[in-house]
Amino acid sequence: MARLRERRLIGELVVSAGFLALSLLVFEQIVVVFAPEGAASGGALQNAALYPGLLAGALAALTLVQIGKTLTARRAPKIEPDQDNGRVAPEDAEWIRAFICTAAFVCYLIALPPIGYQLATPVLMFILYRSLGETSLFKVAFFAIATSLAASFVFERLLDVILPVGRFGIGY
Amino acid sequence: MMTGAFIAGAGLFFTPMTVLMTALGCLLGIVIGVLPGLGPLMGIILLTPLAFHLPPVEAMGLLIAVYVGGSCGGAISAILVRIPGTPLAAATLLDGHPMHLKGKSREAVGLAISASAMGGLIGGLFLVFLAPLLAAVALRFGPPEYFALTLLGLISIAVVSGEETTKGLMAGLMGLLVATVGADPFSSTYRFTFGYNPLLGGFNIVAIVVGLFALSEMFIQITSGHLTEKPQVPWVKTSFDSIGAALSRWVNLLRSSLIGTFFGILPGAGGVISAFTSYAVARANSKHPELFGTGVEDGVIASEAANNACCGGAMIPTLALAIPGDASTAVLMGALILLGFFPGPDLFSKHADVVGGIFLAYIAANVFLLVLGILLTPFFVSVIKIRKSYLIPIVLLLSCIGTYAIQGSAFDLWVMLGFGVVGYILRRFDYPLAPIVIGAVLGPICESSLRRSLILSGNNVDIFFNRPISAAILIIDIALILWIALPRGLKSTIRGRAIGLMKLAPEKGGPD
Repeated sequence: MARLRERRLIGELVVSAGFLALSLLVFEQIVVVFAPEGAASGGALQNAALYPGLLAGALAALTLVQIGKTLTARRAPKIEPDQDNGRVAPEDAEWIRAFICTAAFVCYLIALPPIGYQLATPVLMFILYRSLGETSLFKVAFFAIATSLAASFVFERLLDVILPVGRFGIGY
Repeated sequence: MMTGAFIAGAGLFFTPMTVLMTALGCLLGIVIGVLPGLGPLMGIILLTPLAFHLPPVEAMGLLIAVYVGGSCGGAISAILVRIPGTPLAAATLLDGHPMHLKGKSREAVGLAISASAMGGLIGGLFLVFLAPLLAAVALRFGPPEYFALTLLGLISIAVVSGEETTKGLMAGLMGLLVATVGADPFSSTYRFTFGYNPLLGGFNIVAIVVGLFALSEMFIQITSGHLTEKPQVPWVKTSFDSIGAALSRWVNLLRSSLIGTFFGILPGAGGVISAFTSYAVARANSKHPELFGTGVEDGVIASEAANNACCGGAMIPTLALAIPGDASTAVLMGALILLGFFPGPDLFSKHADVVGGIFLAYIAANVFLLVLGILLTPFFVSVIKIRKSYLIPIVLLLSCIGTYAIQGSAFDLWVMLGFGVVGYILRRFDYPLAPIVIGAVLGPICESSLRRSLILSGNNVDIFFNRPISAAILIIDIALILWIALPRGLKSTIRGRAIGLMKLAPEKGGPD
């Protein structure tokens, strides 16, 4: 538990650093991009950097307050157990499952424009159903094709949305 | 004004497709509410792309009905399997599940649906009467008032984000910053596009919302386990007798609905706070407070009437002032903007027919909730049995197609994934996500109000303090920031004293 709390503390600091990086990025853009274009000075009409600059300043100040609060807290943050399963952290198998699903989704996003919705989606659905614990191959294959076709029917036929057809030009 | 809006709105609402869409929205809303992990917000998010292809009142009827149905659906799973389908139903669980254990499942579910629908209708009355009045007042507002109001909306939401108010404010500022990406509304400058053309128009709000809420929820569900479990639920059939049972406790029903509406109007307070508050008030005013938590009808009525009345209340500032009270109304507001109608006083004066149609859709959604909720209870109960292993891929697919459908852009899918990862990380570290969405929706109003005010005053910030309404709202903003800055111990002392005073009130007033 102590290790988990320590990891949580480090995580809190990393997230705060992310917010700080976001505000620094805004200031960097103001100096590097806005200022040479003459959009970082003058009145409210011309000064495109005025509002984002104010927001970034406020965000940086609040992030420093949050970092201060995290560092000066007497103890590392308390770890609350998950409401559903009473555990404080997911098990390794669940992390692996989440990773497989995320990786499959990233591959789907890469493959979608070249191979199109009708080919890419049933494959994604098949991988997702299988990796989330469904074992029957026939059932999984049937649901993967059925859900893909049903979704494309609603959007393409009923709502006239054109889903990616890919290089093979396969559409409804 | 109101009668005219109703008559004009009736022409738009009473068409077969609009009535059908409202009924369909209510049905889908209850189904989505019943499923643990999903809720009214997720329902609105998933159906916004579909609504985008419909005429405005049909679209808003669909989405508002999802909001109404979703706010009630969670009660069914809370009562029968002790898992609130949505956080809104957490207070319903306290007495609803013990009623189920006593063999009163039919009565508990029937009361929850009836109280929700009647609470929603009472909230609807306030919406119909108060929203036009507030819009009329807001006609006097100029850019300084709007700037102060948008700040108030964001700060309030951060203040009610539990103990983590700093994190709430940081999330709100992140949302405001996200909204600055793309073309500057006042000059020809492109901001934070990094030379990448798809960013010229800024981030698509649907991609942001779907990523933050739907995708992060999918990650959380996958890492929570129990993916192939199928909950055992009994067969439950309710009847229209439950309407009489709810009406027989009319004092509790009315009081809880008023509490719900009030908390709905307050930015950030929302359904969960209203449900627990009205539950506590019902208990404090009961002749038998010791029985609360053991399965009393008043507990179910109090929480359900309040959380659905809250929907009507939350729509008042959203429609009249363009200040959403919570994430659900922020997405509803975003949908209305996508459909080409900007909420605020101008909507009431220039598009009274659309406003009237929205009012009628809200009222009809509550009527459908009552009728469909009671008639189709066995169907909704059977939905609880759907396994997460089937549900998660379907929600992911709908999120993807929905996000893509808005602009036909594959880039939006990457934005959705990016915000999904950000949303998951922020949720793991207790950062509230609602302020990000509200910030992203309010961002353009906040910036244009600030810069217009400065242009009007010749870049003099005194303009915000010289106008009485703007100054008053800014004083409230400052007071809220000071409250945030107070040490935690001092805040607890003040809260403790306030609760002590509230407890004294019912003792003096006596039970009802």
